[in-house]
Amino acid sequence: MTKKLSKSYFTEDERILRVWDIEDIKDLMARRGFYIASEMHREELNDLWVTSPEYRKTASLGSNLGYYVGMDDIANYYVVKHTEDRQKLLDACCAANPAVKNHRDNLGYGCMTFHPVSTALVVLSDDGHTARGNWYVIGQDSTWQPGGPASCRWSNDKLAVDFVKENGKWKIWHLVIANDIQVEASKTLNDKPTIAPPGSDPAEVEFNAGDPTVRMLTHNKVLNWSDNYPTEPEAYFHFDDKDSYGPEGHPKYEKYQEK
Amino acid sequence: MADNTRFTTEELVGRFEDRRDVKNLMGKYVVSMLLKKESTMLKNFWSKKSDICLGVNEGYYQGTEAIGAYYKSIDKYTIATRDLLVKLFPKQTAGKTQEQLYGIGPFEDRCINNAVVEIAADGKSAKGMWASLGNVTDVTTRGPVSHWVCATYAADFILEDEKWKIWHLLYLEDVRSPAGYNWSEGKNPFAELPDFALMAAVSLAQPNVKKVLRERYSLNRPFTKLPRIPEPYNTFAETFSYGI
Amino acid sequence: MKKHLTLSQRIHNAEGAQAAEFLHAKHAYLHAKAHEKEEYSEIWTRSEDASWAHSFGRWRGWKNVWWGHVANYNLIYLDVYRQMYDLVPEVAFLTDFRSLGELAMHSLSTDIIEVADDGQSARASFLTPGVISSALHPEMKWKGFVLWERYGADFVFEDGEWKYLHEQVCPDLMGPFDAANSGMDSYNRLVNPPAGGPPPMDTNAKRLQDIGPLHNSYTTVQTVQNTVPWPEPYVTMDNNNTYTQKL
Repeated sequence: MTKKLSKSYFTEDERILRVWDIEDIKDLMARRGFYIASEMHREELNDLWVTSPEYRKTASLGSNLGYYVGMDDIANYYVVKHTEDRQKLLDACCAANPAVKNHRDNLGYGCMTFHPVSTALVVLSDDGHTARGNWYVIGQDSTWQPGGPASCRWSNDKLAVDFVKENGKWKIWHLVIANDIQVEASKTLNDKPTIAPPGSDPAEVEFNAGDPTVRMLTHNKVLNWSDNYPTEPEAYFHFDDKDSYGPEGHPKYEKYQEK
Repeated sequence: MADNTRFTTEELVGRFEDRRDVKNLMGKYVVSMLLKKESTMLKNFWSKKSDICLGVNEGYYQGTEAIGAYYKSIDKYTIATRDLLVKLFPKQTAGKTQEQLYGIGPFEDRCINNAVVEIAADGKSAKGMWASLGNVTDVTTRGPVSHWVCATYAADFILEDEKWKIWHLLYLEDVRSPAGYNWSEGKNPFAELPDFALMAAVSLAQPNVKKVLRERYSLNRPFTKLPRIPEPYNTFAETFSYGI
Repeated sequence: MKKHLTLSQRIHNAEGAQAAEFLHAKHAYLHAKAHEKEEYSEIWTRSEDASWAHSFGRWRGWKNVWWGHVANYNLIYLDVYRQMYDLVPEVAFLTDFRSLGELAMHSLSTDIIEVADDGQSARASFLTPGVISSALHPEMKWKGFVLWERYGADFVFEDGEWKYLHEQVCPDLMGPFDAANSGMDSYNRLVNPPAGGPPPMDTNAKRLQDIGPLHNSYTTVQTVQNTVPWPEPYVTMDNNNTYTQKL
């Protein structure tokens, strides 16, 4: 149900501040896009995600196959594991090409990540303390491979994010990256089997290789958007976990808990 | 993001309008390429300041003359392409004027998104950064070839006569590779076509300040961070420049 | 800066500029999952001035727009539901199977937005790189193609809310994802035209008020088109500032 609000609910001062809240949130997600491209995962968590203990505990990073919950779990996957993977790749690269120095500045050698956000749909709560938004990404992931060429693939995702205002600054609280398509460059999508063999989807393999806090199927891309997750935000008064983009907000979360 | 509580209501409204105008300006900049209006871009979008510059992967076009030469060379290429295609396809181009046919062949769809825009607190300048996913068809010695183009635009803007103008612009490509092929290989898989040999004589003006600002992505490219993202600032003197 | 307007007007117009982005994004997400009924009942004006246009033509009036998008919408999802019912187990239990047809994601970029000085309308143009895809085909293979278009949209402020008024869609590029090269493919079609000539345009001609073509897709010899010019600052919506001129 859409809760429609009369403009007279807010003063003019509040209205322009709310306009700016939404613009700041759009900027925040764009910054994240640039951080990712610059391999600044640690900086992203420090600068753009929640920092207060209350929100750090309940922060989450979700994908088609579940969620990492709590900033520690998120950081272990998104920073520690990611860095380890990049180091392994660099080790292989240096072994293949001794001219390449095995130094942390070379992490990401031969790799490129391009995940710009578009199609922003942002809703600010009435109380001004939280916000929710969707974005769409048509992205590219390129990874060094011995002997070349690089593994280059398109990755299209719907992002769904809950934000909270901490000390006057907007921060990411819950983020879902719901992948729709993975296609290798120069290959046609038309070659892919409807039911992917287990372990064949690189994004899913990568997500699971960490240790997700909650393992559940959140989005089945075979059904297009029939599962309607993550769904678009509607106008709302106060934040409620049941409507969030954290695991508690997933329509099948209770079923997952029963298991 | 700037601290919005330091501004009055009227200032906040003005800053939003500025932000919208800056985003509109960049939108018009890229759509002008789609509409083959390069000959108007210097006059319509760039500042009159003498230190304007356009940075690309291979260096800078520094100053009005160099940027003007850059757009003129695109115009020459567009004319050469038109004339060649009219010769090759007389039936399909019959009945149209030179002016109507200007722009046939190339197609530059350079979408921009992922915008970070900061308006200076003094309201006199702005900075912005965008990601660009493009499908760009060039008419080359191999015929018309479409490329996937992934790039970053980063710009300083200046308010002149109450209109926002581009002051310094960086346009840095990570990918420029034939669509439908692996973009790490740096190869053009299409054969040279004798009908298009004339295109070898047409080239873009080169930057007058040669300096590799960014290598395009390849299997052996060292990891390369993007340009610095704009941060809130008070006056231009206090922040970094995307110019030389 | 719009200093010729009052502060109240400028705040209203700032909200209008944001609303234009919001509504178009809302359209993008609803369309992606074929929730046309929701889109055209919730975020569109029901005025006789409403319109929706594509390369094949234009519907004028909300009732005709509704017909084109809801009553006559591509019913492929019903076929897909039946075909895939036994092939993909999860399909059978869906309560809303409209999204089975395809994922039609038209992302939004390159926004250029203006709000009228009178605060009663807003205009926006976008470039839209899109991908249309689905895994649900009886051959049990995915299918997908890129579809890059341009949008021109007008919005109206009505009963205290911003609503869609006009939409014009201009497809430029289309091809299998990621195996197409539109430049070379178009050149090859010119040099070696397919037998039988180009396929007839799907006019979907019933009840169109303006018959197309209103826009042509890219070819090697297609002249430059500015079918949906970017909006310029304007005072009030009129035939010089609209994506659907009144007849």
